[in-house]
Amino acid sequence: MALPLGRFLSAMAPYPCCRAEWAALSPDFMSTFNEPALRHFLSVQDLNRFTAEQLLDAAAQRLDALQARKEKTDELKGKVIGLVFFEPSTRTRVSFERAGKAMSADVIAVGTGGQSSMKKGESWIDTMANLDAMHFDIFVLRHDVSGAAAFLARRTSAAVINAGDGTHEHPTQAVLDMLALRRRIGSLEGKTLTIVGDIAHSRVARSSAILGQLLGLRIRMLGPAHLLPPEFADFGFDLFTDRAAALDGADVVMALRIQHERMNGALIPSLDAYHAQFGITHEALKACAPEVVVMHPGPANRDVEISSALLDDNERCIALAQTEAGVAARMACLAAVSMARNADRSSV
Amino acid sequence: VSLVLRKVRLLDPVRRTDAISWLRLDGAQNMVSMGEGDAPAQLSDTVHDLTGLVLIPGLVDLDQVIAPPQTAGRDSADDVESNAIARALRQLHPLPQAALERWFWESLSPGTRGQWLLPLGIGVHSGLSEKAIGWLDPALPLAEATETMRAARDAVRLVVTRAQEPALEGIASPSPHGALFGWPISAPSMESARITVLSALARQTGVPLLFQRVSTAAGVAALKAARDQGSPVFGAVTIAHLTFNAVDTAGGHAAYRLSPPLGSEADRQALLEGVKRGVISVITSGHDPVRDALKNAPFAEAEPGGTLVHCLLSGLSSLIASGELDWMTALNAASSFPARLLGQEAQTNSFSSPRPLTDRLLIVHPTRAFRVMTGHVQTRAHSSPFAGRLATGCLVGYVTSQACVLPDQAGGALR
Repeated sequence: MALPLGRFLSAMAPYPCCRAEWAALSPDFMSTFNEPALRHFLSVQDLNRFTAEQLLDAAAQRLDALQARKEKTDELKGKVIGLVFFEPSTRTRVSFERAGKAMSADVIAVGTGGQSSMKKGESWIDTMANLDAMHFDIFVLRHDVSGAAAFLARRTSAAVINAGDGTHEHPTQAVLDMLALRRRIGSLEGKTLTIVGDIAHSRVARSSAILGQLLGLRIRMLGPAHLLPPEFADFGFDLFTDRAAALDGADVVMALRIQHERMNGALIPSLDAYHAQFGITHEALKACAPEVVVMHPGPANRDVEISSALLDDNERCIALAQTEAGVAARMACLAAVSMARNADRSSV
Repeated sequence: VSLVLRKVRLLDPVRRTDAISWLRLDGAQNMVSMGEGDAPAQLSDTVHDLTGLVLIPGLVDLDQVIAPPQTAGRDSADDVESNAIARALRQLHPLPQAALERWFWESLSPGTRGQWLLPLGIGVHSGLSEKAIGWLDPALPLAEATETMRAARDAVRLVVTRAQEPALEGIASPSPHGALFGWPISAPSMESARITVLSALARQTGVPLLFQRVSTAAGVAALKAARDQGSPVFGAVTIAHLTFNAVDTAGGHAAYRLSPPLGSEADRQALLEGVKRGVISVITSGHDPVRDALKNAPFAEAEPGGTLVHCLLSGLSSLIASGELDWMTALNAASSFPARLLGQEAQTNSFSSPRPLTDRLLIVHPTRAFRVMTGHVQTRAHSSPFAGRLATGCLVGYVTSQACVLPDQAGGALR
């Protein structure tokens, strides 16, 4: 028997991660923004340090262009992007649409609710197969099942960008988080990021922690013990259940939303008690570094995971800057997968 | 005309012999004589030189999930029996699912408490009628399980149950990959708790108990502790859990979604060690086919299970080729010991002669590689963690009382 992958990897270098399906970089396909070429963008584990920096640099240039209202390009002219969201979304869906249109792509938001055949009992696999038959170039997929984007990527000729799959990953959110953070504090090397909240059910926590670590951040995770998977220690993250210890000296604090929709049962008995123990407030931030930056991927539950006053404090909290960075980050991600797709076709 | 198989490496797990031998079969394919070394020459014999090949007894598979006839997407007893013939598995003892038609199973074991203890369908294929093999539903509350085991004391020679506490089983074992995907994780005590409690029950009632699908190091440890304390309990492991580990699930392929979930490499090593030391007595296929439509989904949404009936022999021979098991241990766990558990050691698993050949003898090329495919298995499901993999060790012939297919007639390999 050829050695199964699991046994091979267990023998070589067990954990944490082993996926690096990177297309070779070719100068012929480098745009002026210099995004790396990605066949799909399913996970931040598709990136290495070099390509992550490259993607962020390109996104930063696009953010400059966006802020100067000079973001419009013809890069994706003639490309068709399908936004397929099987879960509700505002920021992610709109920013992808905004990004695609800024790059002159045809963007089609595929309804998966009342107006789709899923209402008639069609499975999402069949829905996607039929969409695939319509020759989309890029699918942006959000789904409530972990691994859904990778599953689709194996079954479509289009490029797939994971816009959030269950409790697994939200890689473009991580890119925009790091973009906004880098713009605010400069180099991330050696800084400490404390992620607070429902870690177990948060795909944002997974993606941002892994990408942040790749970029040199030290990662701490804080939350109730039952929402803090102990296996994350294997990734090199420090796990805390005590807020004061987790915030001590932290340079960045990321508050996560309590994920009501992904909890099977009442895992948080009282939101007030949660706020008292794990909520991020001006008072709690006194334990952090003096110039601490607060992030929130949104949507926020005011006075649950973050105090209302802190969320509105734009000096300290960069939640809106994250949203702004979202458009630029998604333009960079769309360009990256489009470039790899062009490279694939040119090599045929 | 007698048929003589010569210069074959004959492995007999009952007598624990491993030697180059010869075997003579008469016209009705009764084993009439045998011996070590080269065969005594007789002009009237049809002689087959099997140099480089291995002759082993047929395998006995104690874990195949089947459904009542006509259940959509599930294999029936007929499918399983057809596979038994096609795969040269000597006997199959399929386990029922709870939804099986009761009359079918109850008729096999009159006198047992059919209410809770579903009898195993052993009588169908083996003719065993003395005592039934019982199936203890893992979903039974402890009080009812206790009552069931007490009721089984006189009527049942062996009770079979799953090693996992259903309420504690997740879709992935504790691992960074499981945490990364956010899959529900099996509690570490999933097996140790159930094995410990039911072993105490087995000791109290004296009913031998076989735990199917042990999959974790904690389960092996609990089983060893129970056996050390004198409980009449045995463990079984599937060939998939001996071959793969949780890292194989990292790509999110539904073929690796099994029940119980694949454990860590440490778990797999503990299972292998358990087999070598006799803590785990049985290796099974764990054939639990799931129709393709239910497997055509991301890992977390797919149904657990896989088509594995064709992988027992090739999986074992691959582990042997990689040095992780030896032939004698493997054959003991996949042939002679299961036969003993079923009370059939007298009829099977022995190369003693003269006697009628009621079972199958398998001729294996120990080093030939082939790609495992599910296309030639009679099943309504084709998802298997072994699918498309290269296996080492190939079935090239077999001998039964009705048929004799030898390597030169098989034209290479039967797989």
